[in-house]
Amino acid sequence: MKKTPYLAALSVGVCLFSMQLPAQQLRTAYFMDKAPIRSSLNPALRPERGYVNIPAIGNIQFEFMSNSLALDNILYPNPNGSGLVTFLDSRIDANKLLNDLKDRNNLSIDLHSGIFGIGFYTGKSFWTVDVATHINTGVTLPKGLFEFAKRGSGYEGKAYDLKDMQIDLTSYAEVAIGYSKPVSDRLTVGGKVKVLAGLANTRMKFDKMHLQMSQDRWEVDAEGSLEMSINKLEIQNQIDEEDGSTYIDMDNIDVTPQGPGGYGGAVDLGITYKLSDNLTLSGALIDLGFISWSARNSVIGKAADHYTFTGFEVGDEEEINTGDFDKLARFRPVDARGMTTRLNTTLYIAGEYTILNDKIGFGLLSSTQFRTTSTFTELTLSANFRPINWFSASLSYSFIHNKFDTFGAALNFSPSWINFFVGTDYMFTKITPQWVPVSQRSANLFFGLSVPLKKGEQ
Amino acid sequence: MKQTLLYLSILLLGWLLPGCVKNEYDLSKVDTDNIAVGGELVMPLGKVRIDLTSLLPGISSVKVDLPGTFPTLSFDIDAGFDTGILDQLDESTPIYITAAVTNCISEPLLATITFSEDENREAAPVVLFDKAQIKSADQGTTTLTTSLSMEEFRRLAESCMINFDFFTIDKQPKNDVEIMANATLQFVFSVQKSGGIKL
Repeated sequence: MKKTPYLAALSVGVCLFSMQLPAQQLRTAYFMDKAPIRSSLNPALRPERGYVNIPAIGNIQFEFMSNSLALDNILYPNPNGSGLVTFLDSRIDANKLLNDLKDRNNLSIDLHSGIFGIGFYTGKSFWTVDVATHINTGVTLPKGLFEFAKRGSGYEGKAYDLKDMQIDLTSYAEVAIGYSKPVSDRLTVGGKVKVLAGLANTRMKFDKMHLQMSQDRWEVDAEGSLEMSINKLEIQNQIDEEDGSTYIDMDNIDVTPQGPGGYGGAVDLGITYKLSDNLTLSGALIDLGFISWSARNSVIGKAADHYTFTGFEVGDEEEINTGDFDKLARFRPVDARGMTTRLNTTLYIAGEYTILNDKIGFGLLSSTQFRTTSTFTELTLSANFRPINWFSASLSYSFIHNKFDTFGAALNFSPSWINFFVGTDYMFTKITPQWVPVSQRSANLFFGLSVPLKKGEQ
Repeated sequence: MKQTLLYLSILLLGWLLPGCVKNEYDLSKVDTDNIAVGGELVMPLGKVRIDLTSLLPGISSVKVDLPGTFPTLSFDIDAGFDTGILDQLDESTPIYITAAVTNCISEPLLATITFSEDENREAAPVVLFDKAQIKSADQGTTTLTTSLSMEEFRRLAESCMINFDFFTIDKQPKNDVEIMANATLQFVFSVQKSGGIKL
């Protein structure tokens, strides 16, 4: 009974941090004490045993997440027969798509591939060394873009504000050294230092994109920017035949990287506190860092243009048709400068209450990821089972981002010679024959294979 | 025991997954034949602006004495605008016209506005407005709307004369009617298309 106030306070605290949406790393594994992956979620969380990841397949993570779009928002059963049609099919009601959309619709796909990883105990200290690559991509599309595609201008005309359209991609390699140690019987702290080598960073963003359509004119007003940083990046410029200005030829980009385009660093910080024998609180800040991209590997462009179309003009002295629609996305090169990009930092706050001598635990985890295009928050409730020494499993339910029809599951098998881990935060309740989730706005899959080492002194 | 549990887990996974498969969402059967962008669209085709000042150089107004009939007034115009954009549209697409008539006549009248290829009207003129009511100059701008078939619009685009036939509304005006020299007529041609633009 004494735990009730703690749990209530934890729940309120977690809810306060949970504002929007989901995903990032495998939250379902956060409370799995035998899974090596848990130290990547919180460096103060240590797996029961040390490990050596099997190269290339030791730690693979794939994630897709969106705050609004699922496959069944893009493809629909054919209204007149078998098969599928896209949302752009004229037979599909616009409301079917638009009702599910947010003002800004974010999609991201992340891939993490562990090249090498080892974790080992020296006394009570736990050390990790990891080499991995990351690819993070993100797209932000305004609702107006979909509305225009489905509804158009109407017969009376309409204006659309399509600002904040954005596409970005960041790829980097990391070498990380982690360390954790119990400070007392109740408190464990951990940290990880990462040296980052930036491989690619690109971002195209339109801060302004205003579309006005009426029976006598169409007007588009656009302002955008392009940033690219890749080692040995070579871009040809074209000359505008009308005004003689130069612009970046997007069809003629040559990339032959021979090394990093920038360097950076990051830290992970974690803490766990055993409030009582049954209740443990924890928190972590993951990937708090940056990559600095050198000016000589960077190209920056700006686009700003106004396009007006009124059709033919008879009788007016002044020409009203101005601009060239193609020029709206022509980026004029500006002086390259070094750029600094921050990583997608994640904040975890969690608590777990265990029963039956820790055989079963119930956890509540808030995870908030601060991405460059958006902030995703997810709240995950999990039940964690540790029935026997070499097997553990977790079932989770993430509240915010899964249309209330998915749950997560993770399994960790650790016989004496191998440790096999597989898990997802969004179990596929409906998938296509090609194994693509149908109605989930998020999907992730984590897989790991490692050789267990000796147990540590917990 | 360990291996048995491992095998059972894999078997359970293999049993559950097929149950999740929605065959109606087979991504190899996506029909993209009916893709259209834009829903309902209004698209400008062009504008024709006519200033009577330019058509009647040196003349401040055309006075029509009462009583009597109103003669047809015909003016040369330099039309001949490009209709190439029509090739992108379905031939059955109607062309919508909005006309704004400003400072045209001193008394309200009915007007028939036609476009013809020559003054003699040997070829049937394109009737834009048939006995549409035009406000007097002091009553403000008159806005009229109508539509043409694509074939009519092409003929209009080749016209070189604009013709006005005026009629009294219900009774003979008390005063003589003047056609004002500073009259302006603006025709806005547009397309309203439902079903979007097919890709």
